[in-house]
Amino acid sequence: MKILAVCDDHPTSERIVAELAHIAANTWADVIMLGVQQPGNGNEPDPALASRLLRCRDNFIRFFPATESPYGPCRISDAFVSFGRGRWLLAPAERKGESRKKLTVRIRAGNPVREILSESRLQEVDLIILGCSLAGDCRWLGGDLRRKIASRAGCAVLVIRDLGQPPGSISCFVGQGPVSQASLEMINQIATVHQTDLSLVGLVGNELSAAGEERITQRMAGMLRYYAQRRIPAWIRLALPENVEEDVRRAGRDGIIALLLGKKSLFGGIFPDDLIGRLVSGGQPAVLILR
Amino acid sequence: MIKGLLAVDENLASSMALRFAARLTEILPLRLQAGHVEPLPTQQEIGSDRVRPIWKEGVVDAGHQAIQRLFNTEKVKCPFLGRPKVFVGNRDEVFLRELVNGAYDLFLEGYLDTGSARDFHRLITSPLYVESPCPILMVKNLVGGRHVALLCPDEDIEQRAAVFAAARRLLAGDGFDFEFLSYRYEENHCAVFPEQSGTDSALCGAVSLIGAEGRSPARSRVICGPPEKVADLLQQYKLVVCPLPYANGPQLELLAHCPSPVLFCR
Repeated sequence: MKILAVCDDHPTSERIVAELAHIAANTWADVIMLGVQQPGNGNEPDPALASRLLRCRDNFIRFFPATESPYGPCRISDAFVSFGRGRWLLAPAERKGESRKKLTVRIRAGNPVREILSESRLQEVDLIILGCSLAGDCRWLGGDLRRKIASRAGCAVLVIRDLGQPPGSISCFVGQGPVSQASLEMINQIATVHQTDLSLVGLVGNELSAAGEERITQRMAGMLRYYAQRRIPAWIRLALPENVEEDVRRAGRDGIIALLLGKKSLFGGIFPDDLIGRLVSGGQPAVLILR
Repeated sequence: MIKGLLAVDENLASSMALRFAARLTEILPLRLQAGHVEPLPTQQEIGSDRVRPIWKEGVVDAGHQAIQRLFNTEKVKCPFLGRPKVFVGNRDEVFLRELVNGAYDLFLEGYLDTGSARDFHRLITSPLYVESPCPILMVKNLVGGRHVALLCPDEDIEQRAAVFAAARRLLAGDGFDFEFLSYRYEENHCAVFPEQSGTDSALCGAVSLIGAEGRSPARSRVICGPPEKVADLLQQYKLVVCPLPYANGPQLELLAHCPSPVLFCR
């Protein structure tokens, strides 16, 4: 598994490190920390951004006991080296031994959405983690950026607003779209990391044919079996179109909401066009978009 | 032995009901009969009288196959009384007839919670629920643990005694810890507090009933708040036992939103 954690020069970025470290520890993932700076800052990485990325990296490494870290015992380097126009990479660490997993820190200059999506495709990441301040005042990590990343990324996206307190539950909204094994596993990992209950919410409605509704409940039955085998308690309920938005908001108040978006997902039909944008930009503690 | 009729279809609700029932059989002397109803066809669908028996045979066979697929998928070990029974007809009427003729002690079925009080009200006021000769267990989720909440009816002392007696008959033994709950509707405030002062009439009555048996409940508590929020508190219980609420009101709304399985006694 590969995780791309996006940081900016705002303290908000440091909030995602604990969550990133928990997920990485549970999944033994390769981790890429990426900062994006505006173009035209000369040929050097932005010092404020570089400094924030280094702090995030240090906090991430500190999360693992030195002897148990899959990211290896290494002497940490603080120097970014250029590896192309508007691309910088933290100089490879001087290693005492071989690490099992890779931790890479990179900076790109350019349009944030384009650069993040480009890096995610280039590195073939499975999960993008974005942070956000409580007041929604992240600089370039504005609501619009999060919405664009959430809707255009080809992989799972986790937008973390504030996980200061452990989430009460994870509510996973299941539509008509296919549910991949990777999505099931991602939810499994996040439920395990937080030791929390899982709610599976089927999106049904009047516009849905009986066959469509049956497909959704069959999918939920499969998910229920999958999580039962892994001893993760899962609660089942259905949400009607008129209650979906309120249901999502309510679920997000004290927990993580996971939206399973597929090509044929109901979300486009049931949710207002900009709801996903509002969810990832709004007051939810964390939103996980899965494909 | 508790003789239970388990309604099964090839769907998620039945899948949960089957698994929950299987868990119950580990702690209760519960033996199950699986029953499935194929809907009554129109005259046009059946065709002439000559093909009717063949048609019915085909439908029953398809029903058996559907149940078998469910059993194969779920792979649960459950002591069944016999081969699943497949009926053709009106679901409520068929199950009611089977409950009476088979002298069952419990009817079990799955229910997918939509949070809609209207749908829930429609179901519990259906002939099957209203006229059922035995308690009905509505499985909304798979819940572990051993805590059973007895949601005490407020006014009717006789009903309270009957509900309690029915629950004790079914859930006898040491597999469960009973807890008495009294629910009071409040719009803006959600709270749970122990009943210590003896001021709650519903709880006092219930506690005195169990006291007459020389037992005391694990806890007795008063919960108040809007139904949706109080319902979230009920998810800690393996079962919520209560009488069938016929009228719309806070108690019905609470049960409609309750995520735990509900055992309706009378």
